[in-house]
Amino acid sequence: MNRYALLSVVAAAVAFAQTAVVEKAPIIRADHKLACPSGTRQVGGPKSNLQMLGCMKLGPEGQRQFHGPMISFYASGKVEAIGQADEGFRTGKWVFFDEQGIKAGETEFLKGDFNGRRVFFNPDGSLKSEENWVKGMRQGPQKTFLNGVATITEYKDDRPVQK
Amino acid sequence: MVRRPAAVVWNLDPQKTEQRKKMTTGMRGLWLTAAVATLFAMGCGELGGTDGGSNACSTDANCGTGKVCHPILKECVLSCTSSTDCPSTAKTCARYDGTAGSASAPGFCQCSTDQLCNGGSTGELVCSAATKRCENKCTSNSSCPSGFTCDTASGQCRGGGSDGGSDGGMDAGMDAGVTCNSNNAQPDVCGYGSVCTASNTCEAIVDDRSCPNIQNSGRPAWTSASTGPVIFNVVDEADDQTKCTQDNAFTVTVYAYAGPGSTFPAMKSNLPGFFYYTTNGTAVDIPSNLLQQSNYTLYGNTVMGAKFTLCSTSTTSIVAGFGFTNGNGYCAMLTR
Repeated sequence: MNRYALLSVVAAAVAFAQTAVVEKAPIIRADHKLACPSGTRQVGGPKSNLQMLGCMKLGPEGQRQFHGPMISFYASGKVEAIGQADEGFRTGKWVFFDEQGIKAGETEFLKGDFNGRRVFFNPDGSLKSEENWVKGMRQGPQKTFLNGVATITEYKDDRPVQK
Repeated sequence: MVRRPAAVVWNLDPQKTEQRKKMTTGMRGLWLTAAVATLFAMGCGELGGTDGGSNACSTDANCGTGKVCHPILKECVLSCTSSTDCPSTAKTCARYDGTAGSASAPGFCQCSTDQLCNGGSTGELVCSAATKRCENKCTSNSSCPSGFTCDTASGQCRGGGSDGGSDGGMDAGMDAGVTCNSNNAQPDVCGYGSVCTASNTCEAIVDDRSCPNIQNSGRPAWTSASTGPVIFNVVDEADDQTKCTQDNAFTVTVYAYAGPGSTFPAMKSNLPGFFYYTTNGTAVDIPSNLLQQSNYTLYGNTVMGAKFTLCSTSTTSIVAGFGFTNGNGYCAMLTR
């Protein structure tokens, strides 16, 4: 075990383990309507060629660009992720589901990069890991959980800090 | 020498490697590729490169003047001492382990891409990962060297191994210093910032800024001290026109490995900072605008392949730039 990889082991019984709730992906029908911003049009669907449902417009260079709420699908038509885009870039909180429809994680984006809190869940809904990102780099404490016990690694500029 | 390893076949996963239409060429190699087409008539040499009659060998000493023992074929093949001895279809003169051929240790002419084997186009020849020569696509195990099996999807012979050193290093390089294994997940033992080539040698990756797409993007410089995912290969695929309703399709697969201590997510929507750059340097978020989950492939959790289609009014070719945040820039020319 690297000395710096584990800065501290927090032996805390975590309350979330007792209150974990398994969240399921919503079922999106073919006629689902998104609240698309003006200037965009809704495209795609659960089993569309795009494997995506979103609000599309043309970007400054004529390229296809999503802007507004987005839902991404597996080929089966099940929901893979729910989030939104700003001028073609993922932004804000996105929620991810595995192919069985169980919520697998949440990630905060800015301009297509991780920026903020990123968490993963175990199949029972308990927290598996929690990361902190700033403009695509891990910064600050990064936690992994095992049986309610958190292992914390401090990061600076995407590298673990050696103390 | 540090160069951009764009025109080399990497064996990401022999069981899963997709059939490849053609490898992209680095910007510096574009004109060479075009020239190859006119030179193809010179012949592939290696297809008929054995000396006929009794070719069987186990060491170079079994072969006559101007020939070396191919360690996989166990046949005498024409030798070379420099690239000037080789045809344009297989321009690398090296021993099997990748060390350059020389007067004291001759090699044989090795290919680098299927495209070059076929004279700059597509065709029935593959740059064999097993023999490192232009070969007809295999159709069954019987058309592969002993110990190899035929991947009929790609036409490549897979598997096999070294001769275990039984010949004491006396063949065309099989025993000599293999520094990495291209069948392992990249970058294998080469470390961040490098790639293990098909010749099982480590090669440094550079931050490719040879195209205006990357030059105009404002991307910060990347070095081997960076932490982002590294794009180590881009494959120009058969174009999927269904993805472009009006414009012309340019389908491509980008391969990358994750930065130190990082992994790629299972879901493409959770793949961060992965951009296509237009000629003006405008960034396009690939996972949200271009990539479908079914075309996002993980090899383990540290190597990924992303296949997607760019649409353009160009009828012939486009120059594309790719890059991850904190990773290297990568320029590629995609043709129809």
